[in-house]
Amino acid sequence: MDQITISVIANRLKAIGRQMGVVIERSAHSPLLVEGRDFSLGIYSAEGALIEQTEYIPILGYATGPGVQAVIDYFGEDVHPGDAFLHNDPFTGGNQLSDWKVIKPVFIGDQLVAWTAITAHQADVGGSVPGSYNPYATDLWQEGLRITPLRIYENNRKRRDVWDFVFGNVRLPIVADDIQAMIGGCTVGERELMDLISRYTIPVFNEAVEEIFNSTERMAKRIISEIPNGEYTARWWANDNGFDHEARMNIDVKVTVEDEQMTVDFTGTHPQTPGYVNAPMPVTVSSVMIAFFMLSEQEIAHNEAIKRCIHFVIPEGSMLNPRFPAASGFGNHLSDQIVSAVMLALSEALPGRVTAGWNPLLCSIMNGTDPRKQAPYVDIMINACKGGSGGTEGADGYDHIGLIASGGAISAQDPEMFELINPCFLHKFEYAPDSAGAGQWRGGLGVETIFEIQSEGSQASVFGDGAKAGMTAPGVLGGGDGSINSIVLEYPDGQQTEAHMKDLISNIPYGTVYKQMAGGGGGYGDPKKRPAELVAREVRYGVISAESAERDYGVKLADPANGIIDEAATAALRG
Amino acid sequence: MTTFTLGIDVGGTFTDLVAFNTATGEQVIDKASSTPADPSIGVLNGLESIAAKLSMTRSELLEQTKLIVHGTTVTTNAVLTGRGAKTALLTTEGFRDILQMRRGVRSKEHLFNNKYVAPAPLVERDLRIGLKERTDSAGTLLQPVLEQEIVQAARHFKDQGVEAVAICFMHACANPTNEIAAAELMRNLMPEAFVTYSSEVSPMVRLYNRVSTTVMNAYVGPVLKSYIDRLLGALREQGFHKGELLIMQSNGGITSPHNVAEIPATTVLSGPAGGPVAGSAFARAYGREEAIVIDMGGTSFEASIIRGGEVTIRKEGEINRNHISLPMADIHSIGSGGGSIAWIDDGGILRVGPQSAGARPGPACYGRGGELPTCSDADLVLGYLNGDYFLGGEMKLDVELAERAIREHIAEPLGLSVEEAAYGIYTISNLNMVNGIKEITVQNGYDPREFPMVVAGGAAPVHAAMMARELDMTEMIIPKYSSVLCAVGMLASDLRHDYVKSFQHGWNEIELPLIEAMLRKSRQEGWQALGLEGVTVAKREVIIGIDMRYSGQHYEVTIEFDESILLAGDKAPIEELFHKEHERLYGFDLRHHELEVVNLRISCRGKQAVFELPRSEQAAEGEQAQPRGSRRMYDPAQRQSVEAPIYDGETMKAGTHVEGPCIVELITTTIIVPAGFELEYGSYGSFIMKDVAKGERS
Repeated sequence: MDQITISVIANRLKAIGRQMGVVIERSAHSPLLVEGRDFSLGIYSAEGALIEQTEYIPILGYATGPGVQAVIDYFGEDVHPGDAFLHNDPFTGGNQLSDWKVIKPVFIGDQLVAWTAITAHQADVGGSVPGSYNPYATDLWQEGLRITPLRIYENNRKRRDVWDFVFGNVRLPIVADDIQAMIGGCTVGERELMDLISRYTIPVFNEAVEEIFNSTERMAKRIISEIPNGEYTARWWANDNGFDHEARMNIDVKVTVEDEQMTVDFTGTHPQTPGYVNAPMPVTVSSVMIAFFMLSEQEIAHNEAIKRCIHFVIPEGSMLNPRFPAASGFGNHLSDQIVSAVMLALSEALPGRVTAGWNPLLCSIMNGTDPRKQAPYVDIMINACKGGSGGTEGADGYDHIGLIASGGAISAQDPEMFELINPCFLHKFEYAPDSAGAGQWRGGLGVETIFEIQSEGSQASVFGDGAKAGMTAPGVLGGGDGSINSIVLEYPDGQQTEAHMKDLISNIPYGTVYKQMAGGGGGYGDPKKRPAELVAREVRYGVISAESAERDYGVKLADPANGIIDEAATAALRG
Repeated sequence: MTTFTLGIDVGGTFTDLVAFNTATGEQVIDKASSTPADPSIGVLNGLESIAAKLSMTRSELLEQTKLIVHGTTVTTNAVLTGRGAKTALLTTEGFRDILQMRRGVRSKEHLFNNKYVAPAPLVERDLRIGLKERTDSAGTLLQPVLEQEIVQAARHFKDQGVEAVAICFMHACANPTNEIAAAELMRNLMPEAFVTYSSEVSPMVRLYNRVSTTVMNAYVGPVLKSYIDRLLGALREQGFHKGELLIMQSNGGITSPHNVAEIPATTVLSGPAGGPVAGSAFARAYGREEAIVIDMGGTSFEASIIRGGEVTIRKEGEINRNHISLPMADIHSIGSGGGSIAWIDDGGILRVGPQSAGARPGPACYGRGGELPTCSDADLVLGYLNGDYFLGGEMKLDVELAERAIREHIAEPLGLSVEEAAYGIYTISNLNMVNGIKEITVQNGYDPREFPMVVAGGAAPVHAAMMARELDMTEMIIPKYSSVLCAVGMLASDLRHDYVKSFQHGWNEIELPLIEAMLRKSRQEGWQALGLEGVTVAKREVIIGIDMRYSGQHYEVTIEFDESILLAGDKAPIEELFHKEHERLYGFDLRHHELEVVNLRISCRGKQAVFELPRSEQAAEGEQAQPRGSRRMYDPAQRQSVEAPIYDGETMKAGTHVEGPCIVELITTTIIVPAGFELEYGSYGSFIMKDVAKGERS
């Protein structure tokens, strides 16, 4: 088969994926999807092998396939043109109850040739807390509606009874609209795939897919063979299990590299926790893939073939592969710690490629009633949570990038849209000075966010980590740690409350001021090696204080406002 | 007697000109070296030269010119090279970093790339000042601007030598009062600075999009203004008393300098926008509604797609990761051209570009002091260019200087012959450009094999055949005016005035006369502007656009329709248009859902139609082109040196054809026809090249 045909099909598949994504981004209703792009989509073979995926948020990428497989296994031959399926069950391949998958078969004539699938975070999925992040849940039924493989469209028509039942069990009507948009996205993908496959014929398409897999496998093997053979281990921590705010849970990882094969083994990791701090296996696998893509430092297609050379050992009953019926609402967010553990393990083998720590996520979901519209609202405070990434050889950390699980893809709400959508009035949303870990390549900056909650009786579900020293983004090779995360509520009566890392704060009165600091990333290398002019310029910009410049970087400023260096004092400080 | 219309396109290396005599239909083209330090000098030089071709003086030509359409890259270059005005930003307190944050997105292309560093924002942080002013999301003014704060800011800006000030406040599109007040104060305090505000530039919701667009507008404003003032002054002085100057905009339409001076950011893709406009005209002449237009100049390579006979337009775009919410032709640009410098990387691999020798010093063969080998030097060494007949003999190219540059910097270090090294440079340049074409075709799911390639730019016809073969494209349309296609496009463009108004209402709450009333002022403005630009009423067209969505959605779908539908007063056909478009784009509609309007758009267009495609002289029965000589050329298809016949493309007649390997020389370009290719001169002033060997193989 000629290379041009293969590349046209490969790239066309990529374009179809992008087109499906645009549908969600442009036509969905929930701010999580439209403003935050908290979704991912893929094209699968008739047998369920991932052919192509577009990750708007990487953590959802490799976490979608098992759900597609669950639908295929469940329905077998009973799949017909015009069907659409829904799924979220973490114990048959789902990753989190909040992440619903719409899965649609693609037929040419009566032959099943492919599947399109979209996973997206829903604004509410039932359960005991609006927004469905419940730190006190001890099993999945308390978290939300469990959807095992379910047919919601038949013959291109809604199954009205099923539809009404499902959406009768979630709080917000926009969830139904968003599922409609996801079905639309899958339909656009289906349409384009039918066009593509008809043009090239089914055998040519299948052959091209196999060629694409082979080429990806070759590339993955080459990437793995660049890592010296050996066993690399690390331990990293997740903190606060929702019940015990002081609890520390270890993640143990052993990466074994043998020529062109790699095994990632989490034996020794903390057992599953009593609450929602548990990651179903698809989350763990997807997190490792993120680390792999970051460390490979080259473009590689994201499909099934990569898994031909990366193997997993994830003990059942551990926090990273919990047993039925564990709660797992926080699971996606353990990806911060999982990726950090893998990076840490490989830092010895790939020192020029690892980054210092990324700011571990601390975030909240707000829900309540918007008095302007007399309607419920739910939003994840993505803007406020996005801290900095870690510095790396040759590049500072990226400012305000957010959780590593999103690779910088999840966008902060635009401030105007934020106020239009939520009953919140923003006072401040700016880089936080001195938040970045110092380094020859400093960490990315975190942000400070202050807004007033203009609704009565809102609720904040807080979930995250990194709120104490020792838990923040670690510096490497002499670099400093990133700053601490915090969420503080100032009530109208003058009282102040600092949120725990997993927390549920209810009955928030109108006029409460919400203050959040999202920490910076860790620094890479000795800060005294950072060019003094660069330090001085950032003092002039106001993102590094004159005190920090002197203390951490050994740069003394004669005139901080104009960034003028005291050369003699600086020379003395820097030795 | 004012009979001439001129199209002038200033590129990085050359200034292209086309003169059209509206009385006789005569068309003359010319090229002059660009003068980047002051591009108006190059324009005047070019005018002198093209006037000479018409046996006139420059003043005589300018006196008889009624219209000059001008495309310029001054604003694009300002953004790409960071040489725009020193710009400051006034924004709402607490939001000074929105510009730089870019919504905290590392860019979709760099999801996993931890070494990626974002380009610096166009305003440094200490020149971004937050003011204690505020309007809420409903448009209620909570806190008026404090004069004292603006006075302080102006003092700081003056101290820092600020030349342009962008003003962008929270929710200014819901209520622009504070922006207008701040702009007035600022204009009084800093009369010499260019002051612009967001509700005037792009009155649409989303602070980041507006602040980025407004800052870009400020950043390029002074650069464009001083350029146009200088150019128009010089033209007037030289005799252009009665005529009008119009400027090409990024959206492929043209407008008056007065209009672009207000929103200069509408010109950031001014120059290249002419390419697809002209390309579609030439492709249509051969019955093709779809085409890929490529344009290879001295410093950059542009590719765009024509579909349904129209240039593809996008509502927003990015330049160097600076968001810009203004309509623009969808053109993909990469740094690859005749002036691209060849070099050897650390791993001993030969690379070409993106560094360019530009116009000065230019390629080594120009003899202007350039010592580094470029793509043009390789083309000369391989025999593709005639050193004595470059630009019709107006410029000499020195093959020895070219050979020396290639030998010293490429051939000797790599242990190759000069010819082999030159062939390497040629091939790698082609691959770079092929990747640029793939970006807009294959990567968007279009199969390039289904499109003809319209070839533009002086250097492109030397490279087109081998690029096409790399992509399996078999048909190329090479206009005789290929080397000045953008300038031709300027004459083929419509006059165009686009307006947008923020208008947030439920669809059920409003009636069409309200929309008509909202747009009335803009329509008058556009209509009058067209009148002043000399477009007769019969040639004017008004297109209405409504950005609509289902209530609760965040993004809009733009539907466009003729003004008559609005005036008819019935909402049903407009609703139907929206549902259909939504279904086409997103695979579903929500017919029972409420609709809401977000923005209103109006586009007043005037058919200019001063340009007519040239009609070629038909060959007599049995008449064939005769070579006027021959020279050694390295045939890139056979990979060997051959003695290739040379044909004079200027005198070839329609219907005659030549077979490769051969060379067809035109005054401003050379077409290389490798073995296995065939070239025919068509009826509408274009050569049609076909990959015959490929056609036989498949």
